Amino acid sequence: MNRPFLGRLVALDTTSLLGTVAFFDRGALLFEREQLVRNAHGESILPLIDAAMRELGWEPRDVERWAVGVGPGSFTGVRIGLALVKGIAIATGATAVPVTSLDAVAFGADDQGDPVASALEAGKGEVYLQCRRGGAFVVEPTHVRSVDAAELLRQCGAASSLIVGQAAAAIAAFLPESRISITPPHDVPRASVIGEIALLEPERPIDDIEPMYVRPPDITLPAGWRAPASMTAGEK
Amino acid sequence: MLILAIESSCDDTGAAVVRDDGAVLSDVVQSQIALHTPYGGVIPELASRDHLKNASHVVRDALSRAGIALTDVDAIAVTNRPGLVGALLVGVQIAKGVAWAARKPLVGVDHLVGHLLAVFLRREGDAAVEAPSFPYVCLLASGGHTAIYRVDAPDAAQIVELGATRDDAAGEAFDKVAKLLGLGYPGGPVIDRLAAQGDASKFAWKTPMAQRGSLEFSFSGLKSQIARHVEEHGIPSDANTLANICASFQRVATSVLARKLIDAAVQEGVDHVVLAGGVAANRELRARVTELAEKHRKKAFLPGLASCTDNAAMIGYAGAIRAKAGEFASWDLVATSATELARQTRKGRGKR
Repeated sequence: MNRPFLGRLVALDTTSLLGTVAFFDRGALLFEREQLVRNAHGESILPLIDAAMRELGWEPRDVERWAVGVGPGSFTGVRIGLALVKGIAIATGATAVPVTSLDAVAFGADDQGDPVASALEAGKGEVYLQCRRGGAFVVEPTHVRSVDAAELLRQCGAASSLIVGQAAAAIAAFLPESRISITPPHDVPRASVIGEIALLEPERPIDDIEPMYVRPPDITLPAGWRAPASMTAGEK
Repeated sequence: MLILAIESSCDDTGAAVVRDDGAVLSDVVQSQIALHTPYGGVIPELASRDHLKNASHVVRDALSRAGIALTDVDAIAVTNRPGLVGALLVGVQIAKGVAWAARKPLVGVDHLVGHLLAVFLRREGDAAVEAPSFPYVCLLASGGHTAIYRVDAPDAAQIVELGATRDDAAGEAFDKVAKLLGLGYPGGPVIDRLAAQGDASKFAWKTPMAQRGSLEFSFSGLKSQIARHVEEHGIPSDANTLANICASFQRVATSVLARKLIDAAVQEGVDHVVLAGGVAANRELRARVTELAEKHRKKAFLPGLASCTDNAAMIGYAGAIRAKAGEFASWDLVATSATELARQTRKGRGKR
């Protein structure tokens, strides 16, 4: 295991309806702030950070490491948090640690030796799903119709999973062997958890950090559109 | 005053360093054309994803090419309207992060105001170019906007729309016609190139909104005439016919744009006319505006091509003016699809 990071760390997540920030020093959580903002992360997350930093008397350059939720979740929300951190890193040279939403809701869950499946709402009747056993993936992050998620876990030998995340109950209804945990922080990603994870993870150059979208872009093609040869080359 | 500017309103990720006198120290544009070409137009979600991928490299590149450090910058300017909201948000969040962490003031800039002031940019090699004086009349024609403005001062409150398109933007019409003719995306450069080889008199498309007195435009009907022709005859298989259609379409589109710009200057009693926006790169439009302006004893100002298409330098210059006026944004700056310039032209059909 890596030695925990002992400098000043700020964590944030804007991938769900909850805007959340947390502040760490010497490896310990100082406090966490959150607000339910729906589609307003762009205008609310930096004021939330700024106000808390003023209370702490911290300057931006004092923060050596940023921990950021990179999804999956709202595409726009994912970008709002990560773009902000990228901008901050340009100015201060801070490094960052990306943490996925699916790992955040699973962190610290009482698995009792069972696989831990993370299920978050993905809209359009789908969930973002992953399942780990002892840290290793049983189901890699994917998006799947809610009604098919239980069957996927069963096929992967994870029917007895502990299922976490806001979409857990809908899946567990079809998996009688499973258990669920959806009380905070196992419902949606929270900055306090993202920070805890980031204390132990290796930092990364900010330019290397990309969102985890999982789902491909929504592309509405015009009627009569045909893929050009360049896009179908190699298809059989 | 030195401004670091960021632009991400559509499909170009841009960053620039600009002085408040219009001198461009660097202007970096990462184009997404290759990404969107297969779809024949900009896909907003793809654009947003690519902005995030490129933005921090582009910003660092702009600082490095200008030979300055972030500490040398006086303010950070960013396009926060109008545009694709998801795309704008990436630039706005990066800019907020940079400004907040570097303890620099933040300025939100209207993309259209940036275009209308791009004529004041001074790039290496064109220091001797003359600038217009206020008031001037400006035709802003791009893929997303087409309108004529009276600009009395470099301030959104002093800019008045005199007439705009009721439907498609001019650049949008070029893109759609190119698509109909199987010429790919973007349409402007390829139609410009083929039109130069064609005979514009071979097709007589009806000129949209041709009546004198109105400064409004309409391009969807022009596009529909060509769509009907393609439906009836198919995409021309011979290069000559294809070039002739491009030449005749371009003649009609650029004629109406140039004529209404000069009409506006005459109507307003203004001596200086300016071109702005991506369509201002069209060679026939530039020639027509120059010729018509001379004929009516007006002086035409045509910015270089790099200042016509989307770029961050124009955002930096417009941002410098706001910064000098103390018009700074707070950390809750929003990205929005609407311009701050008041609209006069109502979209849609019907009498006015």
